[in-house]
Amino acid sequence: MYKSIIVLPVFLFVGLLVSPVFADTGSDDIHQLKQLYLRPSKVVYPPSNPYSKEKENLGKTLFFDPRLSASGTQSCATCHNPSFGWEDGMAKAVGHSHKELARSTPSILNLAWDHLFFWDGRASSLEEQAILPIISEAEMNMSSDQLLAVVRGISEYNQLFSGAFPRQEQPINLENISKAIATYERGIVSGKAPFDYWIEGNDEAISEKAKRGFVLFNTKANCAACHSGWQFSDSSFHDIGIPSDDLGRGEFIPHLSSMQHAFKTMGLRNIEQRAPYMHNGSQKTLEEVINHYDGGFIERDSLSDEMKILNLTSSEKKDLIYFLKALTSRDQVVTIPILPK
Amino acid sequence: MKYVQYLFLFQFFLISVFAVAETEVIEGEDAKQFMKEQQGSAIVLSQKDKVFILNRSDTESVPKPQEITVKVGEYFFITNEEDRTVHNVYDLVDRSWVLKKQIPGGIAAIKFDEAKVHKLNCAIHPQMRVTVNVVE
Repeated sequence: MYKSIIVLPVFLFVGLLVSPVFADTGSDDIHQLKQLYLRPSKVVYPPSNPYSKEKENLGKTLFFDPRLSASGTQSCATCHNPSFGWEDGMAKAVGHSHKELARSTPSILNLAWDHLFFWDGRASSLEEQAILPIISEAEMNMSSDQLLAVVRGISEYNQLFSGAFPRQEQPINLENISKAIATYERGIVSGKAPFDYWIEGNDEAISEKAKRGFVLFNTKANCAACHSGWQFSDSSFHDIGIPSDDLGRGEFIPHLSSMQHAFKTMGLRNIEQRAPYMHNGSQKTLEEVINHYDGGFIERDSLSDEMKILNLTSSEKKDLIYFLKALTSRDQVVTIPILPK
Repeated sequence: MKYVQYLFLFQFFLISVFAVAETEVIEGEDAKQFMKEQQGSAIVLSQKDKVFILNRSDTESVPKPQEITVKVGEYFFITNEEDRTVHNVYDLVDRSWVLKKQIPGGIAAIKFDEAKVHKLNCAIHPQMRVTVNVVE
């Protein structure tokens, strides 16, 4: 008799604790949902630019080399800084002569699985993406000739390029510079976060608040409509109603209303490290981001159909943030290479 | 003034040479009705789970087809079979036409009037792409 007096309230209490997590979704549904977020087993390299350790090492060296800029002060890593989730912690990027650029630096995490690059999707391969900021007047401001002259003039690069691109008479060319940097970029993958351990079956890996946040993310908050899969992006382009004159992808597809003010859906891995947010860095905190999605957006013709007033409670918004913070991995510190002479 | 007459006739020659073949698009309820009338004989490109799936009455459905072939003057259909996702197909080659955004259940019928290669993309999900070879 005494056992049932104790056991029944315990069951009720546990039931009360657990039930909010499954309020919207049954436990089978949660299990199915979790399957959609499994990490891939390895990085994908294209046949046109297969992996080699020499290529990756060369790519890393070039990535951290400020001599690839006209000012001699900016490398890829200046803006794509590992300390800020491979962004730069600023609302808008800074280019040549310290001029503020129009958009925020996007992260280069997890791009091996992606399709179009830059906020407006103008590059269709990582190789194309890798070279464009170097030869962009507004950014690193190197002409192709200058770039090749600089790299060829650093004698230790000759050996590195020959090792990465053997049996080529002159391996230091634009194509190989792009290929090397792209190979390094493909290896920049966010490590396992507490969320991933939970997905694998460790129930203690994230808090109950974060679990509720995950359910909201996939249901009421509608985030997974675009921020889907293990990288939390389907790489789609949407106008999410940010106040801005920037047409984004609409600049290239002017005859399509849906593409005006449309920008790429960025992944959310390590998003806690990547403030401020959006293409123009206009949102400083994750709270601001969630409030934006919950009715804080501009209504216009081009607005994505996925944008709706969500009516999230303050507790639900907090749960979403707990969840987003569970996406931060504790990665190995990135070592800075000794640059060639 | 014979040369005026020749000039007058010549303009019809010019018009016939430079007249642009039009792409015809039918959307909305008209397209739904039209597809019903085809009774499953037409080529249908479905959009499902953010990929294209090719459906033809005589073969099994093909997910993520690289290319499809249609005849000049033959209608084919693009449908949205998603639960919630909206798509917006456009042609990278021929900018004279676009589809309106298609919500789930949306159907569009497209007919090309000359032999050409078209490249279709969903603007919202650009990894969804297919080449349409239009042949005589």
